[in-house]
Amino acid sequence: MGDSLITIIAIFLAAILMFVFPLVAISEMNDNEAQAMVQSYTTEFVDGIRSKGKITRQDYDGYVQKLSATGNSYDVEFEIEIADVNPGKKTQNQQIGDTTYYGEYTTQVVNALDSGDYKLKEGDYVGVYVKNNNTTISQMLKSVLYSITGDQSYVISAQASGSVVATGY
Amino acid sequence: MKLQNLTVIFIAIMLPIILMVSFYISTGLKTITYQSIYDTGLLTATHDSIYAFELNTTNDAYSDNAETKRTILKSSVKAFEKGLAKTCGISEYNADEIEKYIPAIVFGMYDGFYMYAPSALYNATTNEYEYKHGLKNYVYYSEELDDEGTVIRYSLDNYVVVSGDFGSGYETKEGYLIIEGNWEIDTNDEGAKNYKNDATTFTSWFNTHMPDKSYLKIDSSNDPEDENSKFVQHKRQVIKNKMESVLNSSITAYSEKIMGQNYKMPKFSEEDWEKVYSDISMITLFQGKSIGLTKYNGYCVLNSSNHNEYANPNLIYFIDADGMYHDIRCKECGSASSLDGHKIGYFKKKKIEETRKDESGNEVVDTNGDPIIDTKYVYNTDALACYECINKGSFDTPTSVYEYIKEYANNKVKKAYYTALARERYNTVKLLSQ
Repeated sequence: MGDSLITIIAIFLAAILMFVFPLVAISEMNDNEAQAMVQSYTTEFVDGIRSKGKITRQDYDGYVQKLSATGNSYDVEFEIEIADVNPGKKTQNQQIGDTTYYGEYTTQVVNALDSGDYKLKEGDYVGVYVKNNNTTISQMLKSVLYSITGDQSYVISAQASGSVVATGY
Repeated sequence: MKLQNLTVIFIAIMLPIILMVSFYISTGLKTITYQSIYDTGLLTATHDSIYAFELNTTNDAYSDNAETKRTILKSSVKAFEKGLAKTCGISEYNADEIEKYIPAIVFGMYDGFYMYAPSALYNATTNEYEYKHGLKNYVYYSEELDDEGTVIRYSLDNYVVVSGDFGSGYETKEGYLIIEGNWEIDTNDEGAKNYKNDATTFTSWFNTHMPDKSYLKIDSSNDPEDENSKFVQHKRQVIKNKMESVLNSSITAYSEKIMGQNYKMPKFSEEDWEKVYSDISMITLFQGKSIGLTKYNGYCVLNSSNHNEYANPNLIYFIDADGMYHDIRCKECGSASSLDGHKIGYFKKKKIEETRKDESGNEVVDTNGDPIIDTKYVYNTDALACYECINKGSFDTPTSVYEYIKEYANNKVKKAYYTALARERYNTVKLLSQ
């Protein structure tokens, strides 16, 4: 009886060591690769917006399509800060970097894209933040192994931001 | 002992080790990822800051004024902090939060540099010193030449200011140092003519009144336009030493008093210094942010070329009779019937603000009675950039501009180049003389 129990334990532990850990490692590697790709796509997308001075439907759809190709689904969030170059109307010589900014976010940007381009001017700030909203294999395995749960947990995230260098209108 | 027991013992030992190694590797990967993100973030934030500087100087008619310049630089710092805060996920509305990771920001200007760094302020209530970031006083690229107090201030080009007793009491003199024979200019160009005359007179005075040091003797073997000359080599050493010592002392004080950690000044590469010597530059340091297994310690050096600070001799472009503009080394310049040169900023768009007027010429006002201001972007010229030289950077003679003008350019090209450079330099406002 004793030998059988030890044998079962040994088989169980060996199975964990030989199958579960390599699987976790491979799935993590997969997430890391997806992470690198998502970061690269996001930087490329934001650099395009900064140099064109606008967000076009074509660029946005292309970006979302590239993200989907990593095998996960994502939440893409925009944070646009628009330089109010003349906030008081009488106040001149507002400096870029130290002027008043007002924000527009994902809803406004996506709505604007439905009817054309979302246009920006030089000196505005654009930020794109993305994170996965599905559960990846590594997340599933980890939740089994370490009992990690929760809707807010994500493993792939990327962000890129910067000032717009061309006026798009 | 049975094989099963040995297996269980082996696994019991190996499992925690594997878990630990796995955790260490995963944290190491995260560290590398953060390092990469912060490197990119620092570069982008520095670029944004330089861009804000360019935008604010080229669109501000008063940007040559020293006080306006300080305001512009502070705005550039804000732009940098904004960019960096976004990268690091730190609130940009609390400057102290991001500034504690910024030991210093240096703005390398035409004849000196500004540094944005912490300073000690005494708080009488708490009886303690507090540290607050601020834009420090301008530091000139200056050097004491002798024991009698003769001081020379260098600049990024061949302009110098010297102070001392030269025989008629303590006085300050300023001007450009040139080798007169090299400067063949169009004498119909008033600015260029004045530049050459003033510079020739000043160089002659300089050669007779400066202390006896080989690098201060301006002649054909020591051309202040040649980056390999003794004068330029010495000037560069002065700039480097000055920046390093000021930056180093600030970083040391900052490390001990604020962070309680022994940060050291990064060792800038020669390539980085070359950027500082060649044009307006910005050096940003970002240190101390935890990124997993270690703390981030990075810096970034970037140049600006679109500004009103000075005429960079490598960035003068020439409009030909066909309405295209070129780098002076472009083969098109050699055969052009006319060449009209301007510094690079002339070819960039400028923002202008105009009060809207109706057909009768009266100001149009909004519902509050305020005049409506329209923003427009204009160019000084309709000339288009040459595809070969400006866009592709392709030249038949791939040398420096200095060497090209001296060794390869024909007389017409030489004359156009020196005339344009002389005029641009003559028209550039000097803070030194204010």
